[in-house]
Amino acid sequence: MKNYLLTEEQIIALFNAAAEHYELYVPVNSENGQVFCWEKTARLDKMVPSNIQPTASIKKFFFPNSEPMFGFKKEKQEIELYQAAASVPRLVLGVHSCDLGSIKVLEALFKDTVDDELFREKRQNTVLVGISCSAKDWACFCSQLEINSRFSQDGDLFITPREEKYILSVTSAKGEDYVNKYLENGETVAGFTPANDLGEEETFTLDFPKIKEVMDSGFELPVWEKFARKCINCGICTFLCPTCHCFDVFDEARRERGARFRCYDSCMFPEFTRMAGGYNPRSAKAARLRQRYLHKYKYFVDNFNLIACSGCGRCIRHCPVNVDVRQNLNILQHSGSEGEDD
Amino acid sequence: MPLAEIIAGKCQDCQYQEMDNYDELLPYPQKIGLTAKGENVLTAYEKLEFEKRWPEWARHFENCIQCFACRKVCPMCYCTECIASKNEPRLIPQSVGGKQNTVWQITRIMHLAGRCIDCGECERVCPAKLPLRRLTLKMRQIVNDYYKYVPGLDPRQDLFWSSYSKKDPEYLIFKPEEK
Repeated sequence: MKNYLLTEEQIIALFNAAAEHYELYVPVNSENGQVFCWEKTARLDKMVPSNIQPTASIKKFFFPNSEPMFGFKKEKQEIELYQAAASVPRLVLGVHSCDLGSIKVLEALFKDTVDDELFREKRQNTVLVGISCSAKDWACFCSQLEINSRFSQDGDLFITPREEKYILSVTSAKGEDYVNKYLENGETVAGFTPANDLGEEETFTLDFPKIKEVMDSGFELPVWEKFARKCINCGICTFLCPTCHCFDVFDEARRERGARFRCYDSCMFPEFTRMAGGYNPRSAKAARLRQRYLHKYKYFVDNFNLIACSGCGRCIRHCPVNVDVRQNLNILQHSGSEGEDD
Repeated sequence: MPLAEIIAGKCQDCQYQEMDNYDELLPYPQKIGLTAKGENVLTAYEKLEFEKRWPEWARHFENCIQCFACRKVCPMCYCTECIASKNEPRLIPQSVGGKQNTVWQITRIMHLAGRCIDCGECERVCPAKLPLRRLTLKMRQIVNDYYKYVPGLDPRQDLFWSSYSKKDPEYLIFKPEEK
């Protein structure tokens, strides 16, 4: 892994040098102090802050809220299919370790299991520049998932601020290509040790193998009902989650032309599993919440040996009714041995 | 800790702290000191020039992710099947984008005219921070101006949607006659 020591001017120049060929995305503060998503900018004027985690997660760049898969049109009696949108090279700045860590979950599915063209093109075309996180908040729990908030090798480049300067670590072949192409007179540093995780004020430790064990035989546990009591079945947790990836495919057409879309669907919605005949195998709220938890911490581990969670805390921070996955997992990990407490 | 510091912003300009349609009334631990904002959310917004309003809304609607938290949390969204979840025919586009989201949001707000009780929950839960209360307050204002009806205020009053009077103005259907 190569590391460069760059001044602020140098690092800004590095990203602006590619502005002609890349769309540049940065997390910026909007007027109400909220950062909903990375926003496109023509040029970088100053370095992005390290304390911003946008509300919408990084998956938007590879697996957007809704995207056209292909277009179709009918002329006379001929039906023609055509590519709906070409992906453009993008550079996303200021991505935290939690978001970077989530990408391998999406890749396990969209790249390794099926070769999903839409995902692959976008991922290949995007350079992800991580930044060392400087502000964990009350909802963060990435340390519990062994993600180092201060350093990550899951992206393409990674920035660690150091005394008015920046250390730029090259963490992938794509990142290396980028640096070779656009960096002028970079001074490399030897012996850079990445910073350790910030740590969290944890009141309990989540033992994921134990949780999986409880889940293996815990399909009928009464706690699911308890967890779901306050859930209102909106889609916030699933739509903001960087690893949730369920989608729906449908056609939208007007007159003689249209497109086939793929857009997020949520296991929290009752319509998600409703069959054409009207029967719904997951009609109960508790069954839907259980599905989400089992999918993340059990099924995905069974299938891919990965936990489909990166501890970004969005589902906790933005839940309208304070459903806290950490607390629920904690109850689960103790429910096997100590029995029920209500 | 003073109550004003922990209660939601929307409660700080609540106009209806004392209602009379209760069975039991618990004594307030503290009175909420009104910040006298009243309808400031709306009046402040209405100072914005007309031409500047639409671009602002377009930007907000762009951010909507159609998670339907506004619908799920709303005490007055009580349809057993929402129009946005209907498949055949699909009236609200399922794809997400500025235009499609606008259709959804405007449909929901219009449907709540005369029903919205201004609890402000839709605005509170919105992960994209859409200022929905501006729209719902405006609907309340229109309904009150034209029909002298404030949803939820007087349970003895005939419901807005299920009552008809010959005196009802028809501005919303016909253009007002020019004098």
